[in-house]
Amino acid sequence: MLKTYDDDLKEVKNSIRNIADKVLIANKTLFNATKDCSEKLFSEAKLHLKNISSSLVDVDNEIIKILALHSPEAKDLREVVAYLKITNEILRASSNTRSLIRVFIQYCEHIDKTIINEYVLPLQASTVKALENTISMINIDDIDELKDIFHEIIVEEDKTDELYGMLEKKILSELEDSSDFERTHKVLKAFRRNEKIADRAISIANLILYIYEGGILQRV
Amino acid sequence: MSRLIINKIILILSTIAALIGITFLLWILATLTIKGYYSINWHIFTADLVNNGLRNVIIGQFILAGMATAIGVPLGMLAGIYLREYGANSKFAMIIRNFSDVMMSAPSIVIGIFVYGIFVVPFGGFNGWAGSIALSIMMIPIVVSTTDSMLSLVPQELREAGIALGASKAQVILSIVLSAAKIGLITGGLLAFARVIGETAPLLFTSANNNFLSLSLNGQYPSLTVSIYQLATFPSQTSQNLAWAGSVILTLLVLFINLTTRFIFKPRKQ
Amino acid sequence: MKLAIDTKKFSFTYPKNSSPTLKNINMPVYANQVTALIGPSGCGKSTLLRSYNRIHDVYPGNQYDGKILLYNNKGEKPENIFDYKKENELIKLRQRVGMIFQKPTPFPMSIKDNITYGLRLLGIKNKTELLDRAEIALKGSALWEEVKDRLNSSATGLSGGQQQRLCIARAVALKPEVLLFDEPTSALDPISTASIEELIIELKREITILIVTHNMQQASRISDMTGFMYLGDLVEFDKTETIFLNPKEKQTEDYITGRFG
Repeated sequence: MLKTYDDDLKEVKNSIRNIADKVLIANKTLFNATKDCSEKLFSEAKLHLKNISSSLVDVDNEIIKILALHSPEAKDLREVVAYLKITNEILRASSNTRSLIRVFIQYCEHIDKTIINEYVLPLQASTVKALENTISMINIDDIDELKDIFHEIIVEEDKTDELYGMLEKKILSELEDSSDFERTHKVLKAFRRNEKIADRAISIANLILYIYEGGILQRV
Repeated sequence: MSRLIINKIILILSTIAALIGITFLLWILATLTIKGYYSINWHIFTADLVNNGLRNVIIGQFILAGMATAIGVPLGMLAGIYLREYGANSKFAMIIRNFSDVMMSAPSIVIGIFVYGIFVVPFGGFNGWAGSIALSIMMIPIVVSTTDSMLSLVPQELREAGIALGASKAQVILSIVLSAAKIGLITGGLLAFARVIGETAPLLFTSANNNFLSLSLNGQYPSLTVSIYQLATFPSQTSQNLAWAGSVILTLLVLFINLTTRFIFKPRKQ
Repeated sequence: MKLAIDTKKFSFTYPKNSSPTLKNINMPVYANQVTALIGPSGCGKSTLLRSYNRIHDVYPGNQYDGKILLYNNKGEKPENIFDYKKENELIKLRQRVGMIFQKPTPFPMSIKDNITYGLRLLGIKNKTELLDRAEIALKGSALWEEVKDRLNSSATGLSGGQQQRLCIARAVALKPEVLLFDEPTSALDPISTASIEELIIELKREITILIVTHNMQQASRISDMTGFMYLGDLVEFDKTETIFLNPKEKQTEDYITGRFG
């Protein structure tokens, strides 16, 4: 492929990485904010997610331009299509994070401290780890290394599943009166989003593997 | 079924025809070789006609043909260059091409008589210049034709590429086209030389013959072909033998030049 | 974007033809960009390209209308190339606007003589200067390393891709302002094609490039502006990414998507 293609593609890759990093930092900041329900840090977390959807749309348009101008094939085609789908995944992860932050700003103070320390913080930590691993895959091209990291992400995602299960049970068992129900419902839904963000991380990792392994797109 | 029979018949007939042609060729060569073998000896190449040798007439034939080439090739090439590079497919060029082709079949004796009238009578006698001119007239149409076709083989893009770099038409022709057609043009010149070196009729009334070695073209000039004619019709055994010897030499000469052109052309063909 | 050439209401009729091959073409060619002309066979793209260095003049009897304005990089008023009547004016034009052909056209001489051909036409005789400029041109065409040890050998011994790069170096040696490429890679294998495409992208930094290609992907890969021609008309002319992503004319879209005819 021509150097112009390589240059254009490198820019797309870097943009994706930068935007994904923003989602990661938002989740990290959220983690720190949850520790002492710091309003300041919650706001900071939200700030990192500003303008992400318009940045992602710009990347999409760049990818479409690359497809139109360079007609890539084989691994090049897989790479460009994978990036096009990855922007969607990042967008969903970003909106999940945003909903999470919103709920925490409202209800952080009302949640039991033990629950936060025993279940919520580990849940968020796993999510952060999954995201971090996925983002690191973007600039690696050795397939064995990619597979190893992929397994680690699966491990973290399983952890989030487990932790959420335990969290749900604990919260529902301590439900005393129905006046708490709306709040409890909202909070549980928010925690579920951590698990969804981890799902997105796996989808992205799967797409990156698709670039180097080949074959067809598959469900995870 | 009948198609197969017809196939076989045609194959047999054409093979027979080819064999007949080759037989005559081999017969001529064999006869020449046998008859000439006994007559060729060192004396022939060291003595002049006056002493029953062929030295002066062989040299003379070369000089006549050489001078004809010096006149005919440049004129023919320039005409060929004009036809192909400047005239292209214009009506005028087509007419000239047709005339040139017709001239190729002009009877050689008529050319001889024409030159007799123009270059012999006004100058008071047979001379070598007239002989060379007669040969060159025979040569020109051949050179024109080969130059024309060799130049037409040069791809048009090559000329356009020269023009695109800022060369004038003449520069393109001189530095590119002629270079590209070099081998073909040289071959054409050699073929024309081979053609005229074996001619007799144009020399009969122009340079006639000379028993002595002469390097001046102002008078009668020794020629191998005219000598063969004269010797063959003279009723003496020595003359007849000399005629056979001359024929062998002439045949081998023409054969040699023709084979050379094939060798030059073959390996370079892409 | 600076103009290198402006085509104004340009029409062209071959001799013996009753109707024009090019009809009223209006097209800018921007400096230091690659402009591509695409379209089906017979649409007139090569005819248009060959008008820019007036190589049609080699074959008498052409009729044309309109102007082709050539700008120089000093910002002076442009000249209509059809005002040039004398041979030395045409020669000067061709030294400013060079051309590369579809079939590689190495001259039957050494590599060195090929490259310096145009320079010697200019009157440059100094051997060192000729050699220096040849080296620069060959380096600029990514050919120097491959031929530096056999500059005196015949150019016809090079491979097809090398020969084409030789022709490019030969034209570049004259430091032209514009280079016209007439389907330069259609006779070459994919690897030579790729190296010439890379070369063209490099060259556009110094030279304005106009390329005719029947390979649409080539136009989409290397050009900044693209013109789509059909039956002598310039149907659409726009930025390459617009033509290949959002063409405005249905004819253009039909051609690009392969639904022509």
